[in-house]
Amino acid sequence: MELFFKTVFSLLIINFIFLILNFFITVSLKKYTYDKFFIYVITYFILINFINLIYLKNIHIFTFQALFSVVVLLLYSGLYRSISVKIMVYLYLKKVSVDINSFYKNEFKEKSFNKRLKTLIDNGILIKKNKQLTLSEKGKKYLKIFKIFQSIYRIKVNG
Amino acid sequence: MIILQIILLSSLFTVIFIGFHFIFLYLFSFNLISFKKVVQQNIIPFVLGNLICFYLVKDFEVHKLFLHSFIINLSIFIIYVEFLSLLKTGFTISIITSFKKKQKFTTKKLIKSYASGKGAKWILLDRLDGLRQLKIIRLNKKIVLSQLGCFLSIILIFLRKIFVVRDFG
Repeated sequence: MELFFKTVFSLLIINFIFLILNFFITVSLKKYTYDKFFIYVITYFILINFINLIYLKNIHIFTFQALFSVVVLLLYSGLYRSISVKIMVYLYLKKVSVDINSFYKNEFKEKSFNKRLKTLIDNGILIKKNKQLTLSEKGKKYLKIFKIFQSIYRIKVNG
Repeated sequence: MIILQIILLSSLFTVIFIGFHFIFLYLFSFNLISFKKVVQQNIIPFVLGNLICFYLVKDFEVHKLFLHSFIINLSIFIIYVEFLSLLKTGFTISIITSFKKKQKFTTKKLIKSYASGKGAKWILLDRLDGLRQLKIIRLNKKIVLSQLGCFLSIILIFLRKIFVVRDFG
């Protein structure tokens, strides 16, 4: 029973520190993207388990911290990238009903679709030349990998 | 040493779990249709994987570590389901797969050709329909949040504040 409370208390403190550190990193960095958050979570997980391995030697911390890290990554990706979440938050903040077409034009096309296109161009996956978009060599490689996985998992249409 | 044993046990689970998933996928023609289906199709292999894993190690000393391994298995399950749902419903992935190797698109044409010609508006309508089915929104020509939607939105905003998510990706 003592071990149980000790573990729960340690996990609470570890995860509280995780959130505090995340806040300070977000404030100090100009743009905090999902990639940076991912690196932070992995680094924190390794660091905590390194400390755990040397000082605490508590196996529960390793397992529950692994689960926490996975859940947090999943949650963050949903909060950051999900279209459904974006719709819900937008509707709540607007407080009024929203026309589908105007939402599509002003919010979805501009702030989601075009933003993702820009990210793909910035990451060198798409090339924009004379208003024409094409896949770069890197993009073609990704396309090949996605197609292989989609055929393995029998995915015919995605989106 | 204990960590290594847990990792070994979870590796055994991963092999059994993915093996079962493929058996279900190919032998029983389970196609990946929606996120909900993806979860359903993975739960049976997940349970079977854990049971077989436990059965295989029950006579050995390692079986004491099974509870720890189960939590790691749960993490593996979440990662695997998320990976599959990303392949199926990933917005950015779908933009890339809208291209063929030597194809060129203007932004307007890409919007029309998105998701095998369904168009970019389709993904919005698809997500809206998903939210409507979950009774989070009411949908006519206008979108209105239901009471459940308002409640969930408050939770989402609260979580976004906790994780300091400022922008939408």
